[in-house]
Amino acid sequence: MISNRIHPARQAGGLGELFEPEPRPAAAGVESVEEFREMLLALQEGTDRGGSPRGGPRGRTDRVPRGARPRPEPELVHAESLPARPARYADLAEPLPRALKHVLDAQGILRLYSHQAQAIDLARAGKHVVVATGTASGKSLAYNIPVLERLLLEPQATALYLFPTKALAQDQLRGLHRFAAGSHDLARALTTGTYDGDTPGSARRKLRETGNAILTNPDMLHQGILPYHARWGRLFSNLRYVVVDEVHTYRGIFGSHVANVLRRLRRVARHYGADPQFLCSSATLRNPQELAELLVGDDVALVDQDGSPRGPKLFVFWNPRQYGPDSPERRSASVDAERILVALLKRGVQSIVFTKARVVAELIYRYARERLERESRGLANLLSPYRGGYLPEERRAIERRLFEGELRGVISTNALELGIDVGTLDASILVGFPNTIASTWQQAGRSGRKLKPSLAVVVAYEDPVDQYLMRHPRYFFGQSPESAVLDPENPYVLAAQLSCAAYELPLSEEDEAIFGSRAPAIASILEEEGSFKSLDGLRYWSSSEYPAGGVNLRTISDDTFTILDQTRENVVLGTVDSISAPELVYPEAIYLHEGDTYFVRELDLKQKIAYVEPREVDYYTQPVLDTHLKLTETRESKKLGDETVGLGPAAVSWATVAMKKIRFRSLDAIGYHPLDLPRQTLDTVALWIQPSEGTRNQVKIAGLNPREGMSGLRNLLITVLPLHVMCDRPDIGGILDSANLGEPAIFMYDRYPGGLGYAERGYAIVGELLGAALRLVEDCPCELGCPSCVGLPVLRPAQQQDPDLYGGWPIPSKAATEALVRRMLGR
Amino acid sequence: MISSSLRKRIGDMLRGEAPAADAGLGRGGLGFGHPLLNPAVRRPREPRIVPTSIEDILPGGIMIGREGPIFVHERLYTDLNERPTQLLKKYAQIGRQPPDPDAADAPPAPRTLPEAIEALDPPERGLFRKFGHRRMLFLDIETCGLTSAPVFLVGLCHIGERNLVLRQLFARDYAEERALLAEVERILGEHDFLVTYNGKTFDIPFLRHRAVHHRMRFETSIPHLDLLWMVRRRWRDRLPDCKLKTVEWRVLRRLRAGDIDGSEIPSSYHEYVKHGQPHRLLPVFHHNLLDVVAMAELLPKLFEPDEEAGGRYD
Repeated sequence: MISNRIHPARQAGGLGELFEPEPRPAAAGVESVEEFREMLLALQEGTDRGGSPRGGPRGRTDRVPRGARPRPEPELVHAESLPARPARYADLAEPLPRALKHVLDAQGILRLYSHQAQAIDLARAGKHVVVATGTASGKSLAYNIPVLERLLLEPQATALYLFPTKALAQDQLRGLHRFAAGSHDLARALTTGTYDGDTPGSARRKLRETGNAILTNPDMLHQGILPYHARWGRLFSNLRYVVVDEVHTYRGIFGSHVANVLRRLRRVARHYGADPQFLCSSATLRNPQELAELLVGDDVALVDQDGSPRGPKLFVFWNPRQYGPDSPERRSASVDAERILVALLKRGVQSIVFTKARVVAELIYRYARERLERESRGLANLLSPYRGGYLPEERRAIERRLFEGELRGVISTNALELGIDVGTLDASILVGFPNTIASTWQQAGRSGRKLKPSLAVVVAYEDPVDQYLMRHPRYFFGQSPESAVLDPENPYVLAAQLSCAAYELPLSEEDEAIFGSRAPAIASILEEEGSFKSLDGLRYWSSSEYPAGGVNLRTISDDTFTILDQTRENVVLGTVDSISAPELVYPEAIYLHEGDTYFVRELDLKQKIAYVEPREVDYYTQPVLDTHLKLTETRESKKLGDETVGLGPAAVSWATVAMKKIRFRSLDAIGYHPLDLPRQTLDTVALWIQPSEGTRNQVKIAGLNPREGMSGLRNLLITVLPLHVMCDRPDIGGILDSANLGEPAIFMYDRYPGGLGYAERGYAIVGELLGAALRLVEDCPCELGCPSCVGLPVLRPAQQQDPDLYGGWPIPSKAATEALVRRMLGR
Repeated sequence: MISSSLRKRIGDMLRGEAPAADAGLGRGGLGFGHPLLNPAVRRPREPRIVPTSIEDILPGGIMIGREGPIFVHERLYTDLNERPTQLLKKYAQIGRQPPDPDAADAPPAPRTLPEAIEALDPPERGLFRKFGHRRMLFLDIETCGLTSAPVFLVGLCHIGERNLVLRQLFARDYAEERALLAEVERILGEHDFLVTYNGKTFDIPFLRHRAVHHRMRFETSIPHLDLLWMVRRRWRDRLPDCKLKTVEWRVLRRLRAGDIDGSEIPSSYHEYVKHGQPHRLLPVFHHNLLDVVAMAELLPKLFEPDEEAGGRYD
């Protein structure tokens, strides 16, 4: 697969080509995927020189004497060539109105791709549609054209757009304005704006009264529009289209809520005599149609044959070298990603780096800027980090500079994974595998212009899952993307959503049917609890509470902390969500912002403010977290063979208990301070499985470690439980613990305040779960365990931690897991 | 959020659904299983207090309009032990020409700008000149919330020949809200202008939104005099705030005793709809009536010079 032979034409130039002092003109770029391959091979060969040139920073690479590794293991462990794909065009069944055609022509869109034409034809035929094609395949055009056409033909008509984030709504607003700028007719026909938490009061009123294309998000629809539908009577009476962008983000708990919000939307629209069509877009998933149908609550036509062209792409797996033949440790993935980024930038290749944590985006930016300032000054200013927590205007400015091609490189968290239109770049560098196959393709797809060759590089961490994928590259290319799972009929979600619905309009029997077969029973319970009152066959909301106010669609709170720079009259530097604040801006932490170091003087938990000051230091800080689960009571327990299974309320709590100081690049730990911050607590419900001593001994007798078996089983349950209770993996947590029961047990809990019934349901069907876990591990073709079976998906997205410093959990023994589960099932 | 008792009952419901001893799954192996409720886990309904209706304790009658019945409670100003004569006289004054500035007892001409503004005759007087005070309607509503919640009580007042006539229209449950709105719209149509306190911002838009909510027509084109605006113009600098209660105390020298707190009104109504117990609504009717009466007494003061209005603004 990999040719170690360096292209003769390049060999002469050797590394000089790569590390020439000035960048090539951007236009030069790279002409073929072979050039990418050669470039990376050259980088691999020249590791030591390239990694730390003369007088370079202290790097651990310096510790390895040259020649100590006679045959260094390759870093470029796999390179997959993905072939180019030509464009497929199609004509619409009926031509477009003149104004629209004119605007498309002016934007250089002379013909539509086949998937766009198909989606528009289906929309015109009155169908709900979901378009599930690749990144940057022109999905927004497929929904914008039917909407704009309708607004042109029917002046009264209105449309509602839903985006998962405010940033995406802003981005799409710019897109709509570009359309309107191209035609007087369109400009006249379109009155649009974003309606969300950032919209000032006067603009809100104007949009309510005159807007015909409202861009908002599900949270705002849920709390700020549907409950006040009478103020939006005009919008709802004339509602023709509802655009739901990026539906793949609506999964798990969030998706279950959003599905019900959309049912409420359809019900309110129907009340005003409208029956809007839903136009959805999705990233590539295993089940986009099923997902869209669950969300909309109706049949949805699928368009998934991507007609957009793709240049050839090289997909590379890059494994940072071990320090020495005997060292278990690898060099920093951040440092390697930075080396690759700088090499690409110098070749004029516009690049994006995706990181799994904010701190990593900052670190790579800082490293790359340092190097470029030394080696290629002009490029240093053409690079920027991008992440959540920057001020909205800063983010808009970065997006614009990227879109216009002024920025040559950006280092981003997954904040840029969603469809913000920053144009298409030439190379994506993924630092660590994203947690899902779907995300990996989504991020890799951020590079690749229509016909030009592009590059995607995955740089592995020392984490077992990353290392497994490096050893088995075929595994990744053989996996199809994950399914999105959601459960609109989750009874706790339904109880909350039916309350919101009844507040909006009394519920009839027909309405209750919209919410599924369980709705009438839950509505009865709500009536007996005094929230509803039946009159003439309708259930009315009968409480002075405002139900939508107490229902959060997402598991993450939208509470934010402000980060103030004390030396500049308390200028707001950025923000951070309240859950992450104690892990990012604890006292004495170094807060990284656009690569600069700020010292945190004080964290005011009451006012939700972190006070910082700029301070030049040569280290960054990492929180040391302590998480534990405390069982509040045993509500129920039962025997499963010899083993005990239980269910009860539990408090999961975590806190930053200390901080570590880590030197830049070298990753040397140079300090450790205990901290005293209050614990954050999630009160939820947990189930536990406690293997008996006899069972554990049986595993031991077989020469296997029962503790490893329990780890393996916990990991399997994280895969299996969501499928049985219909949630997303991050919606549940699982830990091993001996403190609560005096003996080791596996605890699985709902990651939602109060719980959503996942643990309860798991308790009821625990035998079924273990059976499914055993089948999964038995059927897995791997030998010793892999990420598809006992290997661990991410347990807690550690947003504020640098994965470079954590080895991750080892993949537990497959044999021990199988032995344990067989024994538990009495097989 | 979901209350703990609700959470417990949903939990009970789920356990009722769960197949015994892991015997298979509903819905193709995924999901919570059989949707039917096990009747055994349903709590029996609590015995209810026999509901008595509002018409059992308040004089009035059921009125059947184009959208169905509502309850109407009617009273006269004299029923409240008030004498209407002085008030009626003042009303009769408003529509007359202002005193001749050249007359001997005319107040001195204003010399400063604030004085000049102070001396300006309220432009609202034109309404009285045009329509007279017999064609106006006072209105004040009671609702289940500040926005997007039902309206259930509408207090109205018009001035008869020798008395003030106070009417309260009441929706006995949520389903009667339509009839209430239809009746208010009809009565508005019978009058020439409307008087409210903050009605331009609250009462009228609220009624309109409720009509949109019910997809009903609700047209009022009659002129609307919002006393809050007049009060603000005149006394903003001299009163701590312009709430009706404050004005009632500082200008009318009337202190309300035992008035219900506004925030308790929604739950009083919800409780009435669910459980009867009409006596819990009496404070709401009382509160609404006092608001309407206060408006009727306040209005003439707004057309009088300060010394006659007789308020204490310190």
